[in-house]
Amino acid sequence: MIQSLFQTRGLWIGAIIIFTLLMIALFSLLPGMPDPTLIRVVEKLRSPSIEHWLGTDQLGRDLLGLTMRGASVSLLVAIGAVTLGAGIGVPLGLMASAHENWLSQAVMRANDFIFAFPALVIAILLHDTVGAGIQNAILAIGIFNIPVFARVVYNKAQSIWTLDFIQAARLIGRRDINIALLHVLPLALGTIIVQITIQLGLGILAEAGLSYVGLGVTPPTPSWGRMLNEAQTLIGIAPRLALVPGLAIALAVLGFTLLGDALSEWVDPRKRNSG
Amino acid sequence: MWILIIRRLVGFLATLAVASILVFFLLEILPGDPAQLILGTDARPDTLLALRHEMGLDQPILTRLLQWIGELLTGNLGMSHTYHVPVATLIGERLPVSLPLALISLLLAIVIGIPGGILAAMRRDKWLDRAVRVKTQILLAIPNFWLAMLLVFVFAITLHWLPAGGFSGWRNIPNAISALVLPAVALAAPQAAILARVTRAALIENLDDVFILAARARGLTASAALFRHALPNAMISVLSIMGLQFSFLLAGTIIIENVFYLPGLGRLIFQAVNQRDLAVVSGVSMLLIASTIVVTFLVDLTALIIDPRLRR
Repeated sequence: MIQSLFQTRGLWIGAIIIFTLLMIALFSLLPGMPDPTLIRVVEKLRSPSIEHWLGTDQLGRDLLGLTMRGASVSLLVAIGAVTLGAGIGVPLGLMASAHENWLSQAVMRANDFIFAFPALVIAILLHDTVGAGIQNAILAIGIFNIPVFARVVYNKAQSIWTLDFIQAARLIGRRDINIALLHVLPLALGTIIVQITIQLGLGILAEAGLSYVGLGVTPPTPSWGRMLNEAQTLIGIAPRLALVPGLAIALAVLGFTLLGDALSEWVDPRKRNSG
Repeated sequence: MWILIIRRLVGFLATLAVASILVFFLLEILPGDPAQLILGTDARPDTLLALRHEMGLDQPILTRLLQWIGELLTGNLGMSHTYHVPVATLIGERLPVSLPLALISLLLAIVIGIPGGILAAMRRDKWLDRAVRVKTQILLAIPNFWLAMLLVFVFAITLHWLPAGGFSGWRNIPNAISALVLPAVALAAPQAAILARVTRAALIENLDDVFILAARARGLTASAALFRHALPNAMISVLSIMGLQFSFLLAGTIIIENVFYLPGLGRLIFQAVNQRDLAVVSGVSMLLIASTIVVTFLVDLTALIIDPRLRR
């Protein structure tokens, strides 16, 4: 009883964090909002006040405004990368699971192969072609997401294809692609949604890392990772510049992982007690 | 058994070969003219030609691909055009920073993570278990470079216990170790959290199995059944997760080096990216990718040797 209460609490905390994050991101993009990238050097490194709730950074930009706009950038990269990864990975995994043949072998081998390239190394390799920026971050994290989704869908779908009603559908002559879309995909959907939640969290973490080392979002677009990079030399003078974006990243990622964990128990009750 | 090992070996070599060809094409073919990128658009044509010749860009693609693979096989990774030293020498200078850092943090993660997971599994659903689960979830959400910055703020800037960054070589071993403590802790934190969660999950899955019930029925105490029967079994999945985590450990290492201004592979590759030093970028990337592939292969092989079920 206490156990199930604990689990639902995770779901609620996660959902509230993510909802707040989405609202903040949308709010920061409203046309009436002051531009957070506006540089006012005379107001640099101000402490928190009524005018600037969290104070200003080394260039006089409002820390709260930058952090809020950073939320929209983080979400944009994470959502873009998940769309790319799931958009290619899910069909690949479905296709590979339909028949055990050389094609499915090749698809899964290629998958394991991409897995040897961390998103960071992909970003480094793509840097000269794509250039630093949001698109480089989305591509690098998205490419790394492809094998993740393909593997998860493949494992889940393999057991679905052996179910009786799928065999029956095959016997009456339904084409594999129809069975995959009509019967296999809906049954695998729960697993896919859980993975999407988890990868969104990891995407935010990865974007922060890439922008921190200068391979992701470029100035003047605000990004939590780059804000941390700029705050690093000032940590002795103005630790809040490092505290605020870091806390924002940790909360956002925690929100997605709590939500993902709770959803995965809901999708697969056997996972209860083992997470 | 031998056939299985040989089959894995062939797969491993093929993966390495495909990876090296892919890195070559990504870096050398796609970006247009690397010499032009280095010199800028207003470069004089004869300077451009000279640099293209120095970099070997006037050769046909196939020759350059074979040259790159030949270089990889002999361990000679070409010349860095900014440092004018062989890339292999540069890597050799930086490895004594990055490799110990990665190994120390891996060791820390194992020493903290696995006992943490065992304790949580033994006290399943009690407050200790819940504390471990909540703590690991929070640790996994924290970017390790931010944790590194917080550690610097507390232990270097405020308390002055440890250096905030820099590395003066291994001649003074206590200094070298103290320079690596904070980066290693920051790197180990998320790794330890993953290990604790995987150890706990794998142990609980095994503890629910009938062979543990049988062991208890034979009169073994709960902890004896756990340590003698459930733990060895659980370690197989822990090992495979450690293999998968290795590439994240490497990526983490090269990011963390930037926080602490450590002269390792990370600083080398990011400087090379900014200076468009393609030989260094391709050499270091290839090293990172190859070490991931090697570790995956070794983990695979170890699993094959210790787990008889895989040999059927």
